[in-house]
Amino acid sequence: MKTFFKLLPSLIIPMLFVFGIIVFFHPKDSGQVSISEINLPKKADKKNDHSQYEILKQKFETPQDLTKACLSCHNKRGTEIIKTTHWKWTTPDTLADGTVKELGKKNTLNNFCVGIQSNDALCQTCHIGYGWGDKTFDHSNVNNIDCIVCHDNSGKYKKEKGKAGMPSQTVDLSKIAQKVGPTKSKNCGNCHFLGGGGNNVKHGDLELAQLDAVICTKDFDVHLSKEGANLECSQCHQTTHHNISGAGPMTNSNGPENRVSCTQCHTDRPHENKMLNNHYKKVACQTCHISTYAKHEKTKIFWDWSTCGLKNGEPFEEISEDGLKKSDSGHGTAIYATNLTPEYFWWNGVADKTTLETKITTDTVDMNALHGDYLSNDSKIYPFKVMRGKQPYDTKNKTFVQFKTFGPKGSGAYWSDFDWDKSIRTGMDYAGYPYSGNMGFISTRSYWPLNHMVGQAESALTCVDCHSRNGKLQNLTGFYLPGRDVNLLLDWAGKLFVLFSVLGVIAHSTLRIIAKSKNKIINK
Amino acid sequence: MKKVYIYNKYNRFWHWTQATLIFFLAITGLEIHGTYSLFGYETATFFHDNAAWALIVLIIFTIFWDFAVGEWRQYVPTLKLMKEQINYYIFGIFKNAPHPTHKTKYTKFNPLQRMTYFGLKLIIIPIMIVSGLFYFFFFSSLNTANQLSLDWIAYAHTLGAFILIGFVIIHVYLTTTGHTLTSSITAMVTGWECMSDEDAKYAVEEGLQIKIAEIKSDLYSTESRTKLLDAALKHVEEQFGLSHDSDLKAAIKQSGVGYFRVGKDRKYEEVNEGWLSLYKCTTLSDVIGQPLALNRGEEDRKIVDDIFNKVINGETIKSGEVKRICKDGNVGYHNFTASPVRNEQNEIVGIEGFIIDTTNNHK
Repeated sequence: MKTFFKLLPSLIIPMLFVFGIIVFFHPKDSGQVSISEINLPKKADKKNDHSQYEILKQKFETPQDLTKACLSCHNKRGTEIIKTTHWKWTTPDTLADGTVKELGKKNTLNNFCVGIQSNDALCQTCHIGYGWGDKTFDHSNVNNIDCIVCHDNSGKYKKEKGKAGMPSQTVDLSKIAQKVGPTKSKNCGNCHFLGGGGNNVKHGDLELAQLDAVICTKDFDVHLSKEGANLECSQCHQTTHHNISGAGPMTNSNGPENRVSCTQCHTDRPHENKMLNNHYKKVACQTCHISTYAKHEKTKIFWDWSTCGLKNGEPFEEISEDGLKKSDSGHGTAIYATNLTPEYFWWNGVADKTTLETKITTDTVDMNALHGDYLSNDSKIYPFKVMRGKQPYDTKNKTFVQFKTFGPKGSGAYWSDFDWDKSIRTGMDYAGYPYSGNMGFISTRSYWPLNHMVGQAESALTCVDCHSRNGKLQNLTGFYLPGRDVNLLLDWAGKLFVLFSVLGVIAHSTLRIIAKSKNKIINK
Repeated sequence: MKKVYIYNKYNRFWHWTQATLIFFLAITGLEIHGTYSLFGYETATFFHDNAAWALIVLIIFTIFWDFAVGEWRQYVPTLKLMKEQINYYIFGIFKNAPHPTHKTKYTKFNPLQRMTYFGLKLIIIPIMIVSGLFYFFFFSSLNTANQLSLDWIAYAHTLGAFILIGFVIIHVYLTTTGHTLTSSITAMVTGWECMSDEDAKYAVEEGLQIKIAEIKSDLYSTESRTKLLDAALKHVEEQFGLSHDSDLKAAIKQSGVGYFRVGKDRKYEEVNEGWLSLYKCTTLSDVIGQPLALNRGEEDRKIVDDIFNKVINGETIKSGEVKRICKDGNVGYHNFTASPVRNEQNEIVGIEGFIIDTTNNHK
C-alpha cells in the first residue's frame, strides 16, 4: 500500500500536466478583429448652410420648382437619381434560370397589399418623386424627383397619403429647403419603417423604436442605439452616385452585388474562437446575432384576404382584446405579433419573384422562393420573418391577380366597393393581363430576411440553441447537425451493444460468485 | 503469493493517461452527440478537441516507443492457446482452474487480449482518429470544389465511440479475473503484480532467460566484449591479489614521498597522504582547490610560477628544490619532480610530481 501511494504522484503529475493543457490551452483565431479595432464608417458631415442660398428663399409654387432649384446647383444629381432603384422601383434582376428582367416593386407581387399596379396613388406615397399616380408618369423628368424626402433635416417634411408622393399641403417648402443636409436614419425610416401600412408592419426588424434613445438599448439594436455604435443607416448602406447599397430578396436585385454585409466592418473572422469563425462558411452572422425581432412594435405575420367583405351589407371591423388580431371588410384578417423568433432557411442570395405571369403549380405558393441548400457552396443559414397569407388568384388561368384596392367609390376599388370581381377586372385591365373571371384564394408565403435589430454579443444564440435535439434548427433538415442529429439505427445498435456488455458482465460475475461459494462448500 | 514486476513506468503512464483521456472524450463526446448537457456545448466541444489532440500526441509517441523498445511484439496476434483462454473464461474460471497463460513482463497479454488490442490499435483507434480529424477540419475543408456532408463522418465516429465504451466496460470487468480481484489494477498502478507462486516462478524464470539471451546477444559487439573481459580481469585480480599496482602504492606510502597534481588553473587537484604530512595539513579539503602559491614565501612565488610555466608548456623537471611554508608556519625544504599531465587528446591539462623532504640538509 505504501508503494501504491508513492507511485501515485508519478502517474498523477504527468496527467495533471496533460489535463492542464486540455483545460487551459485556448487557441485564438489570429484573424480576429475586436470591436474596438473597427474603423467605423464616417458619418456624412458635409454641412453647407442652405439657408444662405437666395434661390431657396423663394416661395415655391410647386414641389417641382423646388427640385429645379436643387438641380440648378446639383446639376448632375438628377440623371444619377433616375437610374436608381429608389426611383425606378425596378432593377435588372437575374432570375434563377439566368435570364435578366427589370423587376421590382413596380411589377412584382407580395402577400401584403399584393401589388402597386392600379393602386399607384396610394403606394407611391413612398416614391421619391412627385406625381406617380398612374402609368403616364414621366420617369425621365428629373424635376419630378423628390429631393427633400431623403434630405430634409428639419423633420417637418411630410408626403400626403394617397397623393402619389406629393407633399402635404401644410408643408412650407421654402423653410424646409433651407434645412437640407445628408440623409438621416429618420429619412429612411419614413418609408422603410412604415411600409405595409404602419410601423414595423412589413419587415419586422425595422421600426421607429430603433431611433428612440430610451427604447433602443444596446440589446435592442446595438448599431442604431445611441449608447451603442450610434450609426446612421447610410453608414452601412454606403452610397455612390445616389445608388444606395442594400437589396432585399422580395423586390430587389438578386446576387451579391449591391448588398450590405456585416463583414464591411467586422471581417469574416470576428470571433476569438476559431470554431465560431468557421461557422461563417455555413451560417450567416444574423442567424446567431438576431435572436428575436419585432422587439417593440408588433409586426404583421398573417394576412387572409379571403375573409374580406361586408357583414349584412355593412362594413365591419373587429379587433381582438390584445390588438393582435384584426378583421375588417376591406382587409380580411390580419395577425400581428411581437418578440418573434426568426425562422431559418438555407439561402444563396437568390430568390424567385412572383409577377402576374407566374404560373401557380402548388397549393401554397412561395412568393419569393429562396434558392440554395446545404450542399451549394454559397448557401448559408439565414434568419427570416415568414409572412403567411391567403390572397386572390385566377383559378382557371392559374395566375395571381392584381386587384384595385384604393380609389373612390365606383372606381372598382375594393376598399370602396367591396366587389372582388370588379376590383380584379379593374386591376388586371390596368396591368394588361387577362382575367378569366374565376377567382379563389390561395395560401402564400413570403420570406423577409432579418438584418437589423442585432443585439449585443451576449444576447446572441449559444451553441446549444441549435446543437440540441429540439433546437432552433430542428425544421431545417437535409444535413447533419451535431447534437441534433443521430442515426437512429446506429444509436440503437450502439446502445444495445453497451447494454449487452453490461449484462454480460453482470451474468459472468454472478456465475463467478455462485461458483466461488460452491467451491468453498466442496472444500469444506 | 508473490509479486512480479510487469509494467514499467512508461507502460503505466501511457495506460492511465490514455484511459483518462478516453473517459474524458467519452463524457464530452456524448454531450456533443446531444445525449445530455454537462459542461455546456461550447466548453464540451473545446475540451473534446483539446483532449483529442493530447490523445493523438500520446498515441503517436507510444507507437514510436513501442517500436523503439520492441514492445510492439506483445500485440502480434496468435492463435496459440486461444481456445484454452476462451474455455477458461467460459468454464475454467468457475471451477477455480488455473489461468492457461502466464503473465510476465515480456508477454503481458493472453491471446484474447492480443487480438482485442491489435484490433483496437489497428482498426478502432484509427477509425476514431481519422473520422475525428475529418470532423475537426470539416469546416475548414469546405470550399467551392468540396462540399462534403458531415453525416458519414459523424456516423463512423459514433460507431467507434460505442465500441470503445463497450470495450471499456468489459476491460474493467476482466481486471477482476486476476490472482485476486484487485491484483491486475494494483499492478497497473505500482507495476508489481501479485500472482501465485507457480506463475511468479514462471515469470522470474522467463525474465532470467530473456536477460541472459540479451546479454549473450550483446556480447557479439567488440566493445562490450572488451568491457566484459576487463571487468573479469579486474575481478580476478582483486580476488587473488595479483595486482602489482597495490605493491607500488604500499611502497609510496611507506617512503613518505609526497605526490601532487595541479590543474591548469594553478590550483591543487590532488595530493597524497605523504604530501599532507610534509605540509603539516590534516585534511584534503585544506588543500584541494587552493592556489599553488598558497604555501610559499613572497620571493618563492615567482620561482614556483616559473617552474609551473615551464612544465605546463611541456617541459619535465627531474629535480629541483623549493622552500615551503607549512600550515603551522614553519619553513621546510623539499626536492621535487614535475611533469605535465596529459588527457586522452594528449593536451596538457596540468602538472604533477613527487616531493622528497630535504629540510634536514638546511639545518
